[in-house]
Amino acid sequence: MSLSVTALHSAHANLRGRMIDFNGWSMPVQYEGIMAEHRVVREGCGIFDVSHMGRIRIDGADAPEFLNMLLTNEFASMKPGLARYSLLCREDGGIIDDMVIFRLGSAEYLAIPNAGSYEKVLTWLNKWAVDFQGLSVVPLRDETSMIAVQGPRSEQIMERLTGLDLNGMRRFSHTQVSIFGRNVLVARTGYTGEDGFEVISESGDAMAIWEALMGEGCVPCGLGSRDTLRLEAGLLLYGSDMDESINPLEVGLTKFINFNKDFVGVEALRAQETAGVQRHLYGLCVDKKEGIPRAHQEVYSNGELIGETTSGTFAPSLGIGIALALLSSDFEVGATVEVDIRGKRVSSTISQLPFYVKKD
Amino acid sequence: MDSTALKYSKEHEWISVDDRDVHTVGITNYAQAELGDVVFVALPEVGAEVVQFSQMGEIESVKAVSDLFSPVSGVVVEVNEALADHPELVNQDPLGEGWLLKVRLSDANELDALMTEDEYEEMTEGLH
Repeated sequence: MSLSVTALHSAHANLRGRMIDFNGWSMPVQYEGIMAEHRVVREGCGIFDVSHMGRIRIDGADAPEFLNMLLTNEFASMKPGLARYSLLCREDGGIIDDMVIFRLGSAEYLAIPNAGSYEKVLTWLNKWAVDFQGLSVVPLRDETSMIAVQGPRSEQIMERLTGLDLNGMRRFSHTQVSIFGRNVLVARTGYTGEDGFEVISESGDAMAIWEALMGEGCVPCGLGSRDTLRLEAGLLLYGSDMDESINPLEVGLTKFINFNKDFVGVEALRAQETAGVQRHLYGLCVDKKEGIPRAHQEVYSNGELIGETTSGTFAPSLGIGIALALLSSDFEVGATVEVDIRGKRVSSTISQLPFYVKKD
Repeated sequence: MDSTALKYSKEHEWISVDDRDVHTVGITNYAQAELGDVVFVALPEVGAEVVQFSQMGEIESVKAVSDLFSPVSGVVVEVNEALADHPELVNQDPLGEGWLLKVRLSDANELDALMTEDEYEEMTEGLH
């Protein structure tokens, strides 16, 4: 099966990006190196091609009601120009995907599901949409592209590109702007733990926007640093830290559930909330430089197996290995556990999430 | 280090070749570039025995972990302590400051099973 490519594929090739297969997409894992790219997002401004992520428009007078019925978070009262993070759950509470949803207008929304979940999310939305007259679910991944502009210098750079004062633009708000006469949607969102923006354009305009960002001194960054940045920021990755066998309460996402409305999965989640969860997602930090935790390594407490890591990496900003782990016991921050790193039990501490908090 | 005075293994380690019986071992420039940023190196202890083409340690980049294989059999007489705090030396200077360990050879004939620089370069070109 040949891999899908984004509208920026030739830019990645020219920049000698190291390409990998990510959920069927040929994407750059790094250009110069993960550590340097990580640092530039923490200290300057990095740009990521995130066009592999899904874009689905939901249109129709019933769109607010439709989304409120399917998503855990509240979308009917959310004002146009704002966006919210939410889970999409099955009837049993299992997570189909996590996504940000923008409200573009009174009867128009844009959902950004994960690359690997795009088709199944479309299928799920279409299945429920048949009950709603005049509702349309429009896949837009091919005709649009998405670039993440992330880091403390991103505001200044986006101001230069758009000619707008972005100082007052709130996190999770978005607006239609013009960049060199091209209409784009700019949102103050991201997946790095830093200030940043995401720019959604028509695919034909993506290369010009990418080159303009490069011209402003932005550094291209790949999926490798995207992963280290999101993990330091304590942000979960669908498919690793959660999937359909896990519910939002178990992975600490309860604040994105509105229990004051009915939605698919609410009964299961209410029952789970009453009963309490049997496992919980924790942050772990290895105590000494004895190895780097990776996904699917066993975690022990007092010699007893209590779960496994779901993600793990070296944290460039902290200089040590970190992980997320789904564990069956209750722990306080500061408790000690052991991660089995290829046969070696490495002492680790339950850590506050996020691991890294951005500088003001 | 003069790279022509080295011999190379299929697993991308180099070993210094001269008439002394203690030889320096490291990973090649090709290997460090493929690995990306090295963040942790697990090496055998001084006094440990290593066996030609068998695992002797691990090297971790941000993304992944790889096994290290000894290019020869012998006893480890020194390890590069600087790598504990500065694993990036492996990327910056793989044939110099980023060396891994020194080993006392048990059988000099094993060196014949390794590649010359030209042979190694030919092999890595075939990998692309």
